[in-house]
Amino acid sequence: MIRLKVNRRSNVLLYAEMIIALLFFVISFAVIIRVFASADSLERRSRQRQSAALCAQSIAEAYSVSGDVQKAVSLALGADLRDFTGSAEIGLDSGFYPADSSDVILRLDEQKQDTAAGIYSELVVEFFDNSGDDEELIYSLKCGAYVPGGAAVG
Amino acid sequence: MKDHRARSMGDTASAVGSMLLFVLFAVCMLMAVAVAADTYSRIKTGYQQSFGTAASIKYISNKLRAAENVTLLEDGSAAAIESAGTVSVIYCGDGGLYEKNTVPGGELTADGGELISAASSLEFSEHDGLYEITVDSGVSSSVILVRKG
Repeated sequence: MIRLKVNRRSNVLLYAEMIIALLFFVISFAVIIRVFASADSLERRSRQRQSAALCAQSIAEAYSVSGDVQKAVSLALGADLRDFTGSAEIGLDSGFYPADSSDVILRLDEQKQDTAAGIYSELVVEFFDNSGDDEELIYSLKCGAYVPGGAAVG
Repeated sequence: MKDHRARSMGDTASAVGSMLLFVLFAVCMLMAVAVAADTYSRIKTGYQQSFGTAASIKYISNKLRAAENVTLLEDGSAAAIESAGTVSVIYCGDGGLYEKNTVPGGELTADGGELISAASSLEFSEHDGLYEITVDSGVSSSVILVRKG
């Protein structure tokens, strides 16, 4: 009778130890998964930022040559920006190509200043991540173009 | 006899329970290792690709910005960029981006250069006062516009 009781007690202790060990491993597993998920999302964000920087740089270079937002966007992204009136929004896919279902949103905002020597225009290029619930800024760039009497100079 | 059988059943149940817990733990660990390996390989591949094409594009665009004279060679698959008394011939071949430095007036051929970074193709074109550079890493490609002059 005493032996049976001792055996039962040792079984209970063994189970308790196993459950504690399992709990420890489950918690470790959850932590590891969280770490890898955040590493994966960081890598995606880094790649997105790199593509956004290249796109913004291309738009800025084309804008500084032409001083025309529509032409700059057409040259850099192949997007058709009709009826541009100072600001516009373009939907892009994950590869930064114009698309209807937009993972990334490109916002353009142009301000023109009439100066005595000509027109100085400033363009703000902003990329937002639209894949989550809230829009999140990926990359932003401000560029300018100076148009002295018709012909643009960067 | 009955007591002995009950004890034996209890021992078996205990052993099976322990085994099941161990199997659960082993499966969890295998899943963790598989997920970790997949994530790590994705991060490594993505980093190599984006770093390779971005580094190549930035290197070439900086060279073009500092250039005094640019000549496109071999239908735009290579370029001779002259700056500060040196001509750099940049071209793509054997899975990499190569650069050969020579003197102005020297032979401009796309061979015998030094490896800069990994790339599967390179293309230069010029239009609307801009150079368009496309670098392909095999899986992804990057394009950038750089103004002339």
